[in-house]
Amino acid sequence: MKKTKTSYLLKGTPSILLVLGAGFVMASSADIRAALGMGAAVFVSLILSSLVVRALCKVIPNYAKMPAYLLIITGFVSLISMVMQAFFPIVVDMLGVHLSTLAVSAVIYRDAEEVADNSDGSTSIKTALITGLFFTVIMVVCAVIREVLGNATFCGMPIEFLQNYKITALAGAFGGYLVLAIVMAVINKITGLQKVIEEDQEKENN
Amino acid sequence: MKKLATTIAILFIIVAVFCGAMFGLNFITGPIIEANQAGAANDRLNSVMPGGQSYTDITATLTGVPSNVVKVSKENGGKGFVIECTASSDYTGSTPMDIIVGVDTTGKICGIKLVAHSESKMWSDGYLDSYLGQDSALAGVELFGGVTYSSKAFKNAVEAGMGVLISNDLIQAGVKSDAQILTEMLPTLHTGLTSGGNFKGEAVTPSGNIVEGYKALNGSGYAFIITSGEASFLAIVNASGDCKVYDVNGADVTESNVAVAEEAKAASQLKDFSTAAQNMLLAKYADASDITAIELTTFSNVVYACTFKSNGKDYTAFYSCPLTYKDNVMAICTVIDENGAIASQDVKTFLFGHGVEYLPIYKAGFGDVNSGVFKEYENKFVGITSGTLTDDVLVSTATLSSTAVKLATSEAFVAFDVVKGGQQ
Repeated sequence: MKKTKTSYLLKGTPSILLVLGAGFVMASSADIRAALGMGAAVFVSLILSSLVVRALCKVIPNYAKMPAYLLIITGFVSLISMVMQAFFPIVVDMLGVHLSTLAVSAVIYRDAEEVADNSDGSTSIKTALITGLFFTVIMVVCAVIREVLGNATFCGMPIEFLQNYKITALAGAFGGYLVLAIVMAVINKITGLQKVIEEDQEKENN
Repeated sequence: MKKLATTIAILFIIVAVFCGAMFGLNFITGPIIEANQAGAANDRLNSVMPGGQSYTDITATLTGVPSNVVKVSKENGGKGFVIECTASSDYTGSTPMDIIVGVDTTGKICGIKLVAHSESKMWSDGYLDSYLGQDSALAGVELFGGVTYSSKAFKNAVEAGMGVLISNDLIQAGVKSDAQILTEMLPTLHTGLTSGGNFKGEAVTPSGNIVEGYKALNGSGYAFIITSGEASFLAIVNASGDCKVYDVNGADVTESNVAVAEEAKAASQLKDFSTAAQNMLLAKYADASDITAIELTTFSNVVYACTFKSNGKDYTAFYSCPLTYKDNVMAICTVIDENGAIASQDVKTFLFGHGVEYLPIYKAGFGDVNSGVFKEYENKFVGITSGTLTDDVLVSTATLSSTAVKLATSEAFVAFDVVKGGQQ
């Protein structure tokens, strides 16, 4: 399998890697607006958390890392949630409890830890940026498929000619996982991502 | 100890910083979030109050607010009131309906909305619209729009909400016409024209002194609003052609209004149920002899009655046609012995809940109507008397059908008492 630049970039994307964040994709990708909202929330909280963690990682002793990182992430998610409630109330209604649970999501914690562990600060922030970006893109791709085919709507607007052909199962939880699985398979096929991950694991084992 | 102190200090600093940030951010987002929430609440109320802007909850200032009226809000611009009420359908398993009604200062309904409810899809398209422009009398509300059991509960909730505004002198009460008063008596006077308390009939063309006429969907008779001089009367006709006349006070005035009764009888085109009833009877009692039809004097779902002999014993049979789910007409033959106990019960068109939709039992995977499951249900009635008929005969997955069977059975007992010389 040929390695590509994209495969190296994608290997940090949680929703297609270890299926971290699959729950968020499933819950937030039934509507494109919700997907964009969740993607933006993940993206911003990843970047801000990574920046702060990077700045404080030398001050925070190892034994206090986990609670400290979680508090930082929770703090940012709460701030983002307040901003979204003020300016995007409809999206917050769509996301419901999933926006709040982002605070304890392994998606962001994993990146914060990686940023803290990596000696090269600028690279690790870039990784967080790319991770957030791809997470958003993949969620939006899933949302486009699910909303258009499952609900026959686009951003809530009905698509008349699809009304009689919608596959309602795609709009539900089962459809969420199904679409994510298909998207993961396509990405693996195009980018050879799985191969890159296996090679990385081999290197680590050696 | 030092580790613990350091950990606590670090965590405390992080918490303090974020608390400060949230405190500061709240100055910006707090008012916007509050405005958003108020806007969302207003949007709900504005949907039934055209031109409405802001509202004040006045529920606490009102007296005599029944439990089904949840909230009454006054539009601050003086456009009227919005009543939020709730209603429970008689239909087992249904969720309560949340209803919002906008009433302008003249006491007319200017908007009405039912928050999503599973049964609303079965209402006719114009049912909710028929409330618009109505005063508290609700005279123009579509009579047959409520095809399900929930329409009665819906109308009652709206009446209760408007009653609160009237009793607190916020709007004037609407005046009911004689015809409306008489029509509203129907569910109690002729149950054959109702189902679950809802009016079930087909309008017939008025003629002569008849200003309104309705034919029962199950063929159990007619109802007419007939004028005579200045007065209006309700004339009801049963399946045997017997007629009773009532005035606006609900008094039986048949004897003094013979002409009204005759006009009602003449306008009725009654269906002959004798063949269908006797076929059902003979299928059960092949040796039935001396079958003699009885003229019914009750006004109910019982459409045919006869006496017969079988195996040397005397029986009275009552053939009833109550309505069940989606106004399907049932056929029930209740045979009562000389002692007033049920000798047999035959039921056709019994609609059984089958997950997705209600289907006649013979299509629902329970076998045909002669299946063991169904026979067991029918046999539950054997030996029951008017005094021992209870809700035990109801079937949870066939609420409407089994309720209709129970009603028909109790009506058969009433008819039996009348036949045997008891009081109606």
